[in-house]
Amino acid sequence: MEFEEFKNELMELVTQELDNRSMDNISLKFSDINSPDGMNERMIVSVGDSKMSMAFRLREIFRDIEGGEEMDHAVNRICNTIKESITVIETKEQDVKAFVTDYDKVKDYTYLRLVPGNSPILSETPHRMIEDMALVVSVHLVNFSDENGKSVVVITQPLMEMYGIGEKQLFEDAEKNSLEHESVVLTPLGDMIRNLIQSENLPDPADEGIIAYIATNQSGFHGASVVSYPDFCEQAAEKLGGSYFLIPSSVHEFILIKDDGTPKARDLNRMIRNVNETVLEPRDYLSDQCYHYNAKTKTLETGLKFDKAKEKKAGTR
Amino acid sequence: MPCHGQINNYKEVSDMRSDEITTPKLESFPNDNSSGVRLLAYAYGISGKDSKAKSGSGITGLMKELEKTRLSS
Repeated sequence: MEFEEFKNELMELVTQELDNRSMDNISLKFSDINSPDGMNERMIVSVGDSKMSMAFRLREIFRDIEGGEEMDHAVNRICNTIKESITVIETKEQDVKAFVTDYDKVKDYTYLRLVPGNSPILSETPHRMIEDMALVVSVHLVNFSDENGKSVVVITQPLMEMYGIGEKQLFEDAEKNSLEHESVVLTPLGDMIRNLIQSENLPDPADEGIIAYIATNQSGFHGASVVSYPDFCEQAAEKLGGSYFLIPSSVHEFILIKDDGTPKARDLNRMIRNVNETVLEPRDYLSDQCYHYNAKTKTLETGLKFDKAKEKKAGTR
Repeated sequence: MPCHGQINNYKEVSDMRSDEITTPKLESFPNDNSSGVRLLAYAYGISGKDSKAKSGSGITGLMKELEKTRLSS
């Protein structure tokens, strides 16, 4: 089934199921919206005169249908979510807006977040570039998050201007909150995997003499941003015992591999692309290339740039 | 393969249209971000064991190993 055919069939079936459930006053439409991960096609569900709406990510649903999920099953789950969310939308709309648009309420919940450098949101979002990645500020809506997940909002240029603050204060406040509530966590890769997966014979790079650490924050959510924290690179160099490569595992964490002269950036980049294409959720994508931190020169750069300089230096000896 | 067990993976609540200037877009994220699967993939790759997966070579074999591990976790 082609994507366009899927979209139309989904719309028809969801409309029919909502009618079957006597869920009136709901309108559906297709729309493209800017998303940090660039996956734009949405089915927008609006409830009556409410100013809030739900947006379902069509590409992800399509991928599941292609993966074997029955269309009826997907339709039922969408309608169940709409039903659950209607109450939230009707009763919380004003609460959310009142919270998000008041900087005094928001400023203790802002945090630093790393997104892909080509994210479409950047054109209207204050950001700072770190190589080909971008640092933005998001707000964690604690009162609208629950045991199943978190709700967040990226602070856009218009929102920041409405707050009446400048970019400097925006990032300073977010950094302060991040350092206080989401400090750096460095864990050996093997240990982390054994914590997450109950299985025998798990691979551990330490068994091959490779020093590899996970770098994230306390919650493990959007933890790749730790790379922007003051002193992070030096702190990690001390932990690993010298220079290291940084692998962008996802927006939630980096994997650090000690540079003992063996790893090559192009090989690491190939591995990154493989994992990104096969197991990574699109919304978690950060970058397709590795980076390198030189503990002596205190320089962070792309892995390829580091390798080229190294080869050039070796060639001139 | 990444877990889509919760419909919340698909859902965002967005477009507060009452104010054209602000329009903050709400994003929803599940607490489980499938870190185990991708970290395992990297552990195999970094250890150089991805080519030794029992069910096949290269990434296909790795994915089969990952699927078995995910199902058992």
